[in-house]
Amino acid sequence: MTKPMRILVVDDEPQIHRFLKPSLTVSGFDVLTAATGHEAIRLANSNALAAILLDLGLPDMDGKDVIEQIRRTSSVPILVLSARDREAEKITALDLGADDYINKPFAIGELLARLRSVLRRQSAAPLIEQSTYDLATIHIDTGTHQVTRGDVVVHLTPKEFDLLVMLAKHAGRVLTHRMLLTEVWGPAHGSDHQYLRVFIGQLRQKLEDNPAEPKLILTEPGVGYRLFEAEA
Amino acid sequence: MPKHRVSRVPYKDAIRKLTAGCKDCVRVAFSVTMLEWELGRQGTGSSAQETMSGDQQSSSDSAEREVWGRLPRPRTGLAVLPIAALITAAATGLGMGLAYLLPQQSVALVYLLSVMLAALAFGVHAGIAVAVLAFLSYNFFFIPPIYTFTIADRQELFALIVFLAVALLTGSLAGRMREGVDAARRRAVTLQALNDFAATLTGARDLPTIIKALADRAGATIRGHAIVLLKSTDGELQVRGQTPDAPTLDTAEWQAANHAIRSGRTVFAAAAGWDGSRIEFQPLVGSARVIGVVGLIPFEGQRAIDPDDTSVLQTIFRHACVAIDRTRLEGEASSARDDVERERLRSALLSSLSHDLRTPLSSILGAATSLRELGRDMSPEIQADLLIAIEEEAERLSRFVSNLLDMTRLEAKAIDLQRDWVDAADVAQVAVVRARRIFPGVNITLASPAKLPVIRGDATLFEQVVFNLLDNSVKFSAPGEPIDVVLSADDAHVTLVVVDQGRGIPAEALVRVFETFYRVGDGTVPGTGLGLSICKRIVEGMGGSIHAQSPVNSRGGTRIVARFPRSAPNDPGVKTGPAA
Repeated sequence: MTKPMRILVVDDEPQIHRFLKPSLTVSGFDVLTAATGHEAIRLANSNALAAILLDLGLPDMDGKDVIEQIRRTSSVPILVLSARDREAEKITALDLGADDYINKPFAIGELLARLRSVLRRQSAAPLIEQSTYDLATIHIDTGTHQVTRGDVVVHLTPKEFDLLVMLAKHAGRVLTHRMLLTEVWGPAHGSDHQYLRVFIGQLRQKLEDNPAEPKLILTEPGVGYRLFEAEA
Repeated sequence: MPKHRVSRVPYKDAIRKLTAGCKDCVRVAFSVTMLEWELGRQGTGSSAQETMSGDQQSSSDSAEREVWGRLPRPRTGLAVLPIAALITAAATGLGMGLAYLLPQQSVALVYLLSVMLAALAFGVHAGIAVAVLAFLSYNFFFIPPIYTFTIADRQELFALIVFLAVALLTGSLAGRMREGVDAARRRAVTLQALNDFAATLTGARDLPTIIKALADRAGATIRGHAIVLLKSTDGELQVRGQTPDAPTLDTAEWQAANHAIRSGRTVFAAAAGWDGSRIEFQPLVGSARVIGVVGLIPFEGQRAIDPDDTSVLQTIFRHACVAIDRTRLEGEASSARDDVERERLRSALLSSLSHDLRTPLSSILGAATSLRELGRDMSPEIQADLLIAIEEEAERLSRFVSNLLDMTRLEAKAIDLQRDWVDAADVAQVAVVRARRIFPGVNITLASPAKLPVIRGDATLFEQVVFNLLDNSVKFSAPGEPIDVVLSADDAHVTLVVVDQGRGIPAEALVRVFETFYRVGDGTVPGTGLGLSICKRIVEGMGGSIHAQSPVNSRGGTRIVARFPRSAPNDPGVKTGPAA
C-alpha cells in the first residue's frame, strides 16, 4: 500500500478543521492542520506535502504572503479557500503561484474534485511539452498546428491557437486574465482584457456546441478562464 | 478734525500720535482730555480692546448709551434758542452779581465763558447763538447807557465789537471741538462695536448665531431695523434673521431684494406703510458669489443711510460673509466626515457579514456534504461530531442574525426600550441557562440579592444583554475558567456585573469594544463585533450606562458593569407587575 498523501490545511476557524480533517482522512489523505501563517510556513518547510489548502484570511499574516514564502522553496500545489466576493485577492494569490481556488462555502465533493485535479497535474509534472491534447471531441496537434472537432478541421488564427494550447496545457486549472494575456500576447498586454474577451468568444464560436452556454472554456467571473477537464 | 486713518492702538499711544501731529494744540489737548476722561470712565484705562465682554452686543449698546448720556446731544437750528437764552440769562445774572465786586470788563469774561460752555455742551449753533445774545445782553445790561442798545462811548463800541468777534470765534471753535470729540467717540464706539462683532463671529459655530449678530449689529449701526435674507440651496431668498419688531416684507420689497441679489448692487424699495421711509437692500458678497441681501430700514425721519454708516456696514457685511462661508465649509467638511463614517460602517458590515455568515455556512455545508458523501466511511463518533458541528454552527448563525436584526431595529429606533417592568434576576437566569446550554463546560454562576427592585426596560433585550456579555466572556476565557454574573442594587441603580478570568481587554480598547464591528485582538477569536455594541445601545436605551474594566486580577480578566436606573420606592415591587 502506498503511503497516503499528506495535505496541510491552513484555516483559523476550528469549525472548518472539524469537518475537513475527518473528510480528508476518510478520503485517503494524511491531514496536518495549522491555524496561523507562521505555523503553515513552518509545516510546509518541514514536511513532504502533496498539497496545501490555504485560507487567505489568517490572523497573524496575509495569506498571500504565505503563498509567496512557500513558493520560494517549493512548488507544492496550493489550493486557496476564499470568499466569492474577493476576486482581487484570488487573482493576486493565483499570480503569486497558487494553483487554484475554491469559494467558501463549498460542498466537500467540490473540494475533493478540485484537490484531485491539482494533484493530478502535479503528478504529471515535470511538464513535458505534449504534442497533442484531447479535450472531449476536440483534438489539438501542436506539431501540425491543427485542431479538429470530431472529424472536422477547425481553422484557428495563430493567436486563437496559442490561447487554446495555453488553456489545454493547464486543463482544469483556472488561468487569470493576466496569465493568459502575458503568455499569448506578451507582457505589455497584461491588462488588455478586451482582447482576451474577443478571442475567447471566437474560440467558443468555433469549438463549443452552444457558444452561449460554453461547456469547454469556462468563465471564472472576475478572475479568468478554465478549460473544462473531465474527472479521470 | 482732519480725516484720520483708523487703526486700533492703545489709547495712550493714540494720544501721543495725535498730539505730535497737531497744529491746534489747545483743541487736541482738549479732545485728548475728553478722551482720557471717557476711557477712564470705562474703567480700564487701557486698550479699548480689552473691554470685551461675553455679551458683546449689549455691551456695545450700553457703551453707546453711556457716551451720549454723559454730554447732552448737540442741538441745531432754532432748537438752540431757548437753551441759549437760558445760558445768557444765567451769565447776565452772574455778571450783575460780579459787577458790584469787580471791574465791569470782567463781565465780558463771564459771557465768553458761557459762550464756550454752551458751544461745548450743545455744539456750534448754541455757541454762536449765545455769542450773539451775550453781545446784546452785555450791551443792554452793562454798557452805559444801560438798559438801552445805544453806546455812548466810542471806546466801548470798539470793545463790544471785539467782544462779539471773540465770542463768535470762541463759540464756533469750542463747538467744533465738541464735534471733534463727538466724532472721536463715535469712532471709538464704532470700533468697539466692530471689534465685538468680529469676536462674536469668531466664536459663532452656527449660522443662526452669525445671522442674529449680523442683523443686530446692522440694525444698531443705522439705529433702525435690519432684515437678513439668504439664498437657500434651491436659490430662493429666505428671511433668516431680523432685528426685533422689524416689519415683514411686502411684494415690492421682495422684488427689490431679489433684484439686489441678482444684480449684486444696492437696491432701494419704497416701503409702503412704513412711515413712507425706504428699505435699502444691500448685497452680501461671499467668497465666490452673492450669498444674500440685508434689508436696512433707517429710523423714522431719516431718509437714507449716513455715508459714514455705509462704510461701517460694508465692514460688518464682509466679516459676516467670511463667517457664513466658514460655517458652510465646516458643514460640508462634517457631512463629508459623516459620509466617510457611514462608508466605514457599511464596509465593516459587509466584511462582517461576509465573514460571520460565511464561516458558519461553510462549516454547515462542509459538514453536511461530508456526512452525506463520506459518512459511510466515518466512525460513529466522527459522524456524531459533524452533526453537533452543524447544530452549533446553525445556533451561531441564528445568534448572529438575531443580533443583526436587533441592531437594525435599534438603529431604526423601532422598539420602545422602556415599555415594561423587568425583573432583572429572573431574566438573567434565563440568559444564564441559555448560555450553559450553548456553551457546555463553561462554569457560569449567578448571584442576586433576595429582593431586587425592578427596572424599566424590555425583557427580551435585557436577556440579550446578559447573554451577549456571557457570550463575550466565553470567547475570551479558557475552558473551565469561571464566569460570574452578579446583580445588586443601591438607592439609585440596579447593577449587572459580568466578570470573567479570561485574557482581559487592553486598556486602549476598553471604550472601543462597545463600538459597532470593533473587535479586540488578533482575530483568532471568532466574533462579529456586534455583541457589545448592541449591549451598549440596549442599556443606554433603557436609561442606563455600561463600561468595561480590565484587568480585574493579576492575570487579566474583564469586568463589564451595566447600571440601570432602579424603580422608585412606590413603583411595583420585586416582581414584575403592571406599570403604576
